[in-house]
Amino acid sequence: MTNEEYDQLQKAFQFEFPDPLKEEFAKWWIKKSFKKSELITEGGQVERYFYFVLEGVQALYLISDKGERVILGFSFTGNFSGVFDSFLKQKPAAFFLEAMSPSSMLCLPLRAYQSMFEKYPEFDRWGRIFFQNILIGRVSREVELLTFSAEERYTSFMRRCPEELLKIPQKYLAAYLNMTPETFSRLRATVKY
Amino acid sequence: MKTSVQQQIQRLNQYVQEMKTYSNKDLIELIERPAPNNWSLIEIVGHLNLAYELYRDRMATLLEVLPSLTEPKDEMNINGIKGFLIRQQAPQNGQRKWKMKTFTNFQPVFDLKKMTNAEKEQIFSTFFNDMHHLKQLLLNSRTKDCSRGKLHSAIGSALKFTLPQAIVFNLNHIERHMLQMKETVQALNHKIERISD
Repeated sequence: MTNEEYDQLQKAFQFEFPDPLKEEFAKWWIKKSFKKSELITEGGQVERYFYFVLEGVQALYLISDKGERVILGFSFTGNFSGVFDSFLKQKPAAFFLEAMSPSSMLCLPLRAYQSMFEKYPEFDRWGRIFFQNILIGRVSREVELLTFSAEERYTSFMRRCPEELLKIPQKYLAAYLNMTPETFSRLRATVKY
Repeated sequence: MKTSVQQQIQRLNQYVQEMKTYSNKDLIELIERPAPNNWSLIEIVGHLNLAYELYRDRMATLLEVLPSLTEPKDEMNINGIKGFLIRQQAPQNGQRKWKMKTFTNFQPVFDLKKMTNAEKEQIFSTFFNDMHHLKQLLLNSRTKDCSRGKLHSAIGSALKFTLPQAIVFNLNHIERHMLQMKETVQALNHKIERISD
C-alpha cells in the first residue's frame, strides 16, 4: 500500500490511526485490480472481502427470474464496497458485484476485519456511523422508488451523483432508477437539475 | 427462454456448494445404493463427470474459434425446439420428467465394494475441476459472438448446440442429477428407518 493509498483509506475511516495500527493496516489490506465488466463477487459464492475503492465504479445487482439485472447500488472512488451480508454471515451471496470501469480496490479479509474491531475500539464509532448511513441511504432509496415520479427520481439522483458515475453506460443508471433507458435518455435531454 | 451468464453462474455456484456437502459424506454412505437398480451418490457424480467429459473439449474448442465482441454480452437466448429440449433436462416442479435410458458410455462403472477414499476424492475432484472449467467458459463467452458457431451434442450431428445452449444443457443436466442425489439421500434414510424398525 502506497502512502497515498494509506491516506485515502484513513480519510475514509475519518479518524487518525494510532501508531501500531499503521503497520498492521498495511499488512491486512490486499490490493487487487479488476478489468471493466469483471465480476468481483459472484452470486452463489461467499464474499471473501470488505473492499475500499481506490479507483473505479462498481455495481451491486441481483438477477431477476427473467435473467435481468436489478441494480441495488453503486460504489466508486473513496467508498467502501462489497456484498456485506454475505461477507459478515459467510453465506453464499445473493448479489453480484461487477466492475463498471477498470477498478483498483483494497481488500480486507474477514479475520482482519474482525481483528480491526477487536483490537482497536476506535473502529466501533466508525462502524456505527457507517452502518447508520447505509440504513438511512436504503430507507431514502426505498421512499424514492415507492413514491417519486420518474422525473423526481432522476433529479434527486443527478443532484447527488458524482461525475465518475455518469461515465458508465446509461442503461445501468436507468436500471438503478427503475426506468427504461429511453426514459432516462429523454429526461437527461429535457430536465435540468 | 431468456437467461443470462450471471444467472447461470449463480446456479453453478449453488451446485458446487451442494456438491461440497456430499463430498464430506463418508464413503460408506456414498457407495450405498437405495435399490439394486438405482445409482449410489458416488455413481451419480461419476455419471456427471462422464457426461461433461463429452462436452468439455468441444465447448473449449468452439470458444476458441468464435469471433470476439468489443462489449460483453450477458444475455443468453435458449429458444426454439432446442430450447424446449434443453429445458426438459431440468427438473420441473421438483420432479425429474422425461426420464430416459442412459447411454452405455455415460454409465458409471465402479466396483463399489472395493472403492477407496482416494478414488472418492478423485471423483469429486474431477467434478469440481469440471465446474471450474464450465465457469471459465461462461465468463469467457461474455466477450464472444456465440451465434457464430455450433458443436455436436451427445447424440451427434443430428443435434447441434451453440455454446450458450451447450452450457445451459449441461447445467440443466447437473440440476436434474442434483435432485436425484437429494432423492437418493431420502431413499437411503427410509431404508435405514425400515431396518431399525
